Amino acid sequence: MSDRQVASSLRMIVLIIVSLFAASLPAAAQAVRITFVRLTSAAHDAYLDPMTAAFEKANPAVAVESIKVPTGGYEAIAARALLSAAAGTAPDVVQVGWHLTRTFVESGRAVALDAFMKADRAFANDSLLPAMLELGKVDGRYYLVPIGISTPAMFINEEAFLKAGLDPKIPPKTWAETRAAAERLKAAGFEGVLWGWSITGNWIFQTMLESAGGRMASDDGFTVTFNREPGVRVAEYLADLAANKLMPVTDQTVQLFSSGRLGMLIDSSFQRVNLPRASKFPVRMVSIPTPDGRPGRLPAGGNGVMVLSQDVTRLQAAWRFSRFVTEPPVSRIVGENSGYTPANQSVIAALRKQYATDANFQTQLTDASRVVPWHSWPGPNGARIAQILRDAQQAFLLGRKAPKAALDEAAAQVTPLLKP
Amino acid sequence: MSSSLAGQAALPGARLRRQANLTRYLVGYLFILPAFIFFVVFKFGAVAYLIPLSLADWRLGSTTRAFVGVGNYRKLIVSPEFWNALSNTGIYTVAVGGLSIALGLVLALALRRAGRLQGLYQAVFFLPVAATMSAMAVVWRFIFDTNIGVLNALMRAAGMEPLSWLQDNRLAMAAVVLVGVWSNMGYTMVLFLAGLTTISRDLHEAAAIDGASAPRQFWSITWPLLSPVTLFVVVIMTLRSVQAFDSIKVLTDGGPLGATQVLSHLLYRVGFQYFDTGFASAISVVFFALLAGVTLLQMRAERLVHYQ
Amino acid sequence: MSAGVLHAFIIVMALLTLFPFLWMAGTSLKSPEEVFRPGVHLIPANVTWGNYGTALRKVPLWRFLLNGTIVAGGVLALQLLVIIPAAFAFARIEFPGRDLMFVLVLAALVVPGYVTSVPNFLLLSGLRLTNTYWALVLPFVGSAFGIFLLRQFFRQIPGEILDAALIDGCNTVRLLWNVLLPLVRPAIAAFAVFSVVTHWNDFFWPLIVIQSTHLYTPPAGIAYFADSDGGANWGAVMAASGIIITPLIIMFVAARRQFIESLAHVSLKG
Repeated sequence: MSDRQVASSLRMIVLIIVSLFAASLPAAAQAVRITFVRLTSAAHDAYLDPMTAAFEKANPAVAVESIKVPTGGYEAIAARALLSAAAGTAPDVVQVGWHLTRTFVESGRAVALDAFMKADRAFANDSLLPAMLELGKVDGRYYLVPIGISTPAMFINEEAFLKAGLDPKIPPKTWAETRAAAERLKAAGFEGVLWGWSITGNWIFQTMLESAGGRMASDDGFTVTFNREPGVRVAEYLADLAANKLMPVTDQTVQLFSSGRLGMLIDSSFQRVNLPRASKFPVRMVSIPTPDGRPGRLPAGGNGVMVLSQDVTRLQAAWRFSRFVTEPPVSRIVGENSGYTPANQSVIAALRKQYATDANFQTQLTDASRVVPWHSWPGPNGARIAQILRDAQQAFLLGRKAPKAALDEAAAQVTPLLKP
Repeated sequence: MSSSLAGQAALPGARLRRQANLTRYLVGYLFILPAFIFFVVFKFGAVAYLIPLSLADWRLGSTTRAFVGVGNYRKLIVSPEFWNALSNTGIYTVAVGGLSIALGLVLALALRRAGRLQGLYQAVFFLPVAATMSAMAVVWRFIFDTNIGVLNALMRAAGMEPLSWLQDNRLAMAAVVLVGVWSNMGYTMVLFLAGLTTISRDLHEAAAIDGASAPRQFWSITWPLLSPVTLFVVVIMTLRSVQAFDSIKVLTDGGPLGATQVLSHLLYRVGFQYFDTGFASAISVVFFALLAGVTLLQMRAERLVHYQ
Repeated sequence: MSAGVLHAFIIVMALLTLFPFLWMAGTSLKSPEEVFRPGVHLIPANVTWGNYGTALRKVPLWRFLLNGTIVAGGVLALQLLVIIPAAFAFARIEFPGRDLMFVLVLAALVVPGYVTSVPNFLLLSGLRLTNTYWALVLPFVGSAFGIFLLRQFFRQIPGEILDAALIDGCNTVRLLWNVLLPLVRPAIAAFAVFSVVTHWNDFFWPLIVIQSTHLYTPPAGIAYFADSDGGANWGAVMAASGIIITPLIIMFVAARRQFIESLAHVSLKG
C-alpha cells in the first residue's frame, strides 16, 4: 500500500471508530442533513423517491438532500461526486454503478463499510444475496451497499412484431435471428432493432463482447483486449445493422421504443417496469440474444450506495441510510417499482411467488441469478475511457470509421490511461 | 541660513499642503483598493496561477503533484482533441463572424430606408441577443430534432429527405453555425446602424448629384467611412465566437464525435469532467494567448483604418 | 433596388428571426399528441395550457428565476460599491501611480472568463465556497469594464460643479453621493443593464461551481430540464424555455433603447 493509502486508511479507521462510538450516544436533537447524489428519470425516480421518503419517515432526525443528475449516467454522478469531494464539499451518499466502485475507492474518498456492517446488529447481511454483496467488495473491503442489479435484456414491441408477421412468443435468440427479425420489421415500416450501444459504461458492448468470447481487458486490467477478434465481430455486426438501416443510430433508447416505432430494444432489465408504463402497446421482455443462441455472460448492471462523508455525525446518518437500502421494505420498493433485482433474499423469494404469472418478471429473476461482474477499469480515468469507447462505437455505427480501425484507435487511446 | 526648500518646508502652509496631498493620495488609493483586491485575486492572480498549474501533472483532488515542465504543452501539441478543437473554433468563428457581419451590414443598410418602422425592426432583430441563449438553444434543439423537429417536417413537406442535423457529424457544425448567426445578426446590425448614422447625409446627396449610383456610393463613401465600425465589429464578433459555449453545449455537447467541440467546450470537459487540471491549465494558457493575439491584431489594424 | 424589394427582404428576415420564438410559443400550447403530429402546424388545434403546469411541477422554475435575480442583483450591487469610488478616483483624484494603475485596469479588461475558470474554481473550493451564491457572485465583482465606463462619464463632468460643492463644505463622500451620482445615473443605468444581462445569462460558470439543483441559475436550470427525463415532453420544455426568457424579454421591451445602448453602443464608444 502506498503512503497515501496508509494515511487515508488510518484516517478512515479513526473516523469509523469515533462514529461508532457516537452511535452509542443518544440521537442528536437537531436534524442532520445528508446529501445524496443520485440518478433521476421516470424509471429511477420510481424507486428512489419512495425510498428516500421512507427513510426520512423512519428517521425523522435525518433530512436527505437529493442531488439529481439527469444525464451522463453513472459517469456523470462520479464526476459530480468526486468534483465536490475535491472541492471540500463531499456528498455523504452516492449512487454508484458497479463498474465505478474501483474509481471511487482509488480516489481515496470512499469509506470502507466493514466495521459498520459488523458492529451494526440491524444490518442483516446474511439475508442479502452473497453474490451481490461481493460485487461491492474492492481489495477485500466492502465499500458499496447494493440497491439492485439488472441484466441486459431485449424488449419486444408485441404490436410491431405481429404487424411484421413475427410471433412475440418466439423471440429471436441468436444475432442472425435478430437481424432477420429486424429486416421483417423494416419491411413492415418499423425501425428494426436498437442495441443499446450508448448505455452508460459501454455495458451492452461488453455484454456482446463477452458472449462472443472476448473480454474488455486482461485479468490485471492493464492490457486492453476489446479490439481483438471477438470485439471486431461485435463491431462488424452492429455496423452492418446500422449500414443497412436495420438499426437507428441514436441514444434516445426509451423515447424511440415507447413511441412505438421500434420493434426491438436491447437495454437494461431495469426498464422492465418503466417501459410498458411509457408505451401504449404490450411489451415483452426476453433474454438478450447471443451469437449462437446459448446463454451468454450477463454483466451485472445496477448500482448501490457508497459513503463519502468525512464528518462524524453525517457519517452515522449516511451509514443508516445505506443500511436502510437493504431492508425488506426498500427491497420491495426496488423490486416492484423497477426492473432491478434487490439484494434481500427473502424479498426475492416473495416476489418470485407473487409474480409467478408475470413472464417479464420471471425472465428478470432467472437472468439475475447468473450475473458476472461489470468490467471496472483501474485508475481514475473510468469516465474518459467510457467516452472514448462510446465515440468509437458512434464512429463505426455512423460509418465514419471501419469497425476494426475504430476499435484499434480506441485501444490506443485507452492504453495510456491505464498506467498503473 | 536654511535652503529655500527647507525654508519652505518649515512654513505652516506647506505642511498643510503636504497633509492635504497625503490625504488626497490616501483617499485615491483607498477608493481603488477594493477593485484591485478583486482584480488581483480573481484575474491577475488567477492567470499567474495558471503557469505553475500548467507545468504540473495534477488531477483535481489528487494529493500528488509532479512537476512535468512543458509536458502538458507537449501533450497538447500531439493531442488530436486539441487540434480538432482549435480547428472547429476557427471554422465556427469565421463562419459565424463572417455571416453575421455580412447579414448585419445588409440589414443595417436596408433598415436605413425603413423609415418609421426602423425602431420596431431593430427590436425584432435584437430579440435573439436579448433572449437567454441557453433557453433558445433548447428551442433550436427541438427545431433540429430528426424525428419531430419542424425543420425536417418542412423538408419532408417539400419532398426532401430529412437530415440528422444534430446527430450527423457532417451536419452538426452547420446547425450550430446557423444558431450562432441567428443570435448574433441583430448585434452586428445594431452596431452598423450606429455607425451609419454618423455618416452625414450630405455626402450621399453630393455624390448623388454628381451622378454616382447606389453601389458606387456604398463602395466610395459608406464602406470607407464605416471602417472603424467594421473593424470594431470584426474584433467583437471574433472574440464572441471564439468564446462561444452556451449554444454548443446545449445543442450538441461538443459532438457528435467531436465535430462541434470548440476550445471552450474542450476546456470544460478536460478541466471539469475529467479533472485533468494540469492539462486544462495548459489549454487555458493557449486560449489566453489566442485572445490576446486577436486584441493585439486589432490595435495593429486600427492604424490602417480611415477615421472621419 | 426598389423600396418594395427591400421591404420584402426585411420582412422575410424578421420572420426568420422571430420563427424560433413563435415555434416555442406554439409548441408550448400543444398537447403531447399534437407535438408528434406529422406536418407543420404552428398554431395548435386545441390550445392546452397544461404544459406550463407540467413544467413548473417538474423543475423549480421559480427558484431558477429567483436565483438569477439574486445573483444578478448581488453582483450588480457589489460591483457598484466597488467601481464607483474607483472610477471617481481614476477620473478626478490625482495620486501618484494613477496612470499605471489604470493601465492595470485595462489589462484586467482583457482577461477572458474561461481562462481564469480553473484557478478560480480551485480557489473557491479551497475556501469551501463552491455550491453557494458567493461562488456565483465574487469572481465578477471587480468589473474593469465598469470602471472604464464610469471613468469616462466622471471625466466629462465639468470641474466647476466639483469646486462649487467643495466650497459648500462637502467632504468627498457626500460629494459623491449628493452631487455626482445623479449626474452619472445614465452611465450607471447603462452599466447596470449590461451587468444584469451578462450575469443572468451566464451558463459556463454556474455549470462548474453549482451542484445542487436549487441553486441553478436560469440558463443552467433550463438545460437541466431539457436533459432530464422530462425533456422528452417537448411541450413542457418549450413552456419552460418561455418562462426562462421572459424576465429579460420584459426588460428588453420596457427599455428597448436603453438595452441596445448598453449592450452595443456602450462598447462602441469604448
